[in-house]
Amino acid sequence: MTRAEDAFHLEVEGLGKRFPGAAEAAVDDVSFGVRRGELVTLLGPSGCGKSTTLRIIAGFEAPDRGRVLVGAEDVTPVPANRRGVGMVFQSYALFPNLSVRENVAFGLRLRRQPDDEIRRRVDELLALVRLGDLGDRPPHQLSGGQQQRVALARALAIEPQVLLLDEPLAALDAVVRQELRVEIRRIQARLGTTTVYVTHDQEEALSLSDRVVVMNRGHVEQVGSPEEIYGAPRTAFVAGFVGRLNVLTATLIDGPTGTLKVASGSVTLGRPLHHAPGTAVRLAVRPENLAFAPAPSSGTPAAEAPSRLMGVVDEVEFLGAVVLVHVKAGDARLTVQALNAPGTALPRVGEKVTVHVPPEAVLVLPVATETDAT
Amino acid sequence: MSTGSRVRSWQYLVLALAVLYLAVPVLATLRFALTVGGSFSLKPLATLVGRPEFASSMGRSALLAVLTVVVALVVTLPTLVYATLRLPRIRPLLETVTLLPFVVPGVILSLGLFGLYGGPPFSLTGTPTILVCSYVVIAMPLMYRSLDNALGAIDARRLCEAAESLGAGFGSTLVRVLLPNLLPGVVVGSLLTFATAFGEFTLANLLVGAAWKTFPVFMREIPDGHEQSGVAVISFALTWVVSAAVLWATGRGAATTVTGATR
Repeated sequence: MTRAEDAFHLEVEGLGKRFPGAAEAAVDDVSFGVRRGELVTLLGPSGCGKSTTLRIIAGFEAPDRGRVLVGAEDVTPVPANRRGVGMVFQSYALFPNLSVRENVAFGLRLRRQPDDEIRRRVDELLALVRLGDLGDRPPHQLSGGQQQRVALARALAIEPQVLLLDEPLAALDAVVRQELRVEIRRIQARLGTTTVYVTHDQEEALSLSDRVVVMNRGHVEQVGSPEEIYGAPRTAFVAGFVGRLNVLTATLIDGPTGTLKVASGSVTLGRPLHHAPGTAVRLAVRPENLAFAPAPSSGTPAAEAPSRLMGVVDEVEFLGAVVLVHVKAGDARLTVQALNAPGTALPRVGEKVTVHVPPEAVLVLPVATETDAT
Repeated sequence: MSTGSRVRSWQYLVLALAVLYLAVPVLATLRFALTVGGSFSLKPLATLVGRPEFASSMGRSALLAVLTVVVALVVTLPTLVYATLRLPRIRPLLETVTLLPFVVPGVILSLGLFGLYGGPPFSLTGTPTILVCSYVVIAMPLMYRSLDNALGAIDARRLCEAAESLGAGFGSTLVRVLLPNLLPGVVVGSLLTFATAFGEFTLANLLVGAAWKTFPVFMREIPDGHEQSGVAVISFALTWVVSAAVLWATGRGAATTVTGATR
């Protein structure tokens, strides 16, 4: 075991789980670690195995193989009620027969804490989640966001070794979701609780996490900081799932300079590509890295106007602060993200445009993972 | 007349018809019980209450009914919860099995029970034990359905997982989380079971009879029709009193839970 692994407070090693009757494994050889006080997000589409992984960590599901370690202890055979792992559910799961205060106090009462201590701790937690004045209410009288704050306070009351959040914001509307996201991060950072957060929302994952574990079809695609996941995706799936992405099919012209023929032009990457000329590769570039450029003067050969693709505006999508301009360039369809700044003239549908593709922003997708692209 | 008030009028009419349908037979029985020779008289009731076996048989039936409710709850609730949470695939089987008592007539059931428990090694006939056990079975569909409906109304799986993650074992989760939230189902199931056990005649007569006389068996032995009607009315009244008491107690319990939590 390396020193870096030593520092993990929570580790999952080679987890595997197949539900009876299922054609594919829900979780297949999943391994990752979470350092003490770190917030790690499991990100992926529905059915990718992220919630099953979380439920295995919580002790609600038994893995077919692999193990879960908290601290140095293997907790795989330990039942859920003795793991000291707090859980927040998408559906809040507050006890309807108990008031907000009693919900928060539930775990402390089970631990037979003295009444004074329980009262003090509940007051402290309700203040932390900014619900100090609603403690006497039954849960059904609270909004969804408030109920989820109570659920968070209840899970934190037992001072869990690890806090697990299973899509806690999925049932809330956009504004509350954004507020609560900030709140969860603030509370987690303040308490320094080791946290695993499950979401299918990439924006949520990127904004909240210290590190992100991207999952697909039951296995881990990539583990990294939000910046790494977004800026240097290691697989076509990660590149396509996290953020918008233009994927272009290109043919290698010159390996040493990385010159490729793309749709209606060419791109020179300025770095070597170790494939034979004529090899088909796929390039990925984010819409915000593309820009409109002045058209090269007529008669300029494509080789002399590198990294510029000519096309026609197909559709303009207004999103408020930004505008997405969809451009048809030969067989390819590019999306260019432009800022909606005052005085900026945006292209109109049918207009001929030139798109600049900065070589440094182009990712060359691994050929082997072609089928994973979305 | 607005649409809303027209709908309300229909609702009141339907409600009134339902009340009439249920109340008229009881009121007619009461009138017959309190009428001797065409005039009002409390004599039949007084004679009935004065009979030596009146109080003892009523006490036996009440005891049987309470024991049946307790055993039915203890057997059904954990089984249903465990099947729902841990073994969902056996639920269809459980549902079929709990419906069987509706299919088997009481006389057939009593013959079967007599054959099985009439002699060694299980000589239970003639004892109240066999009545409690068989009443638990015949009231099973009522208890099971009531509890199952209540369980379906809450997200039992998530509530249990939440309790478990906070440190509760199966027993704590059942008592502290599920039971309070299943209270409406527990109350309805208990009342239906109580009423079934209190008024059951066939099994009581065939399996135990005079050896341990229950209220319905005592009732059948009364020769006078006026007194019999009096017994029927008292039986109804008792069921209502018990129902009202249980509803009041559970309502109070729920209120205490909320206010107690607000200290």
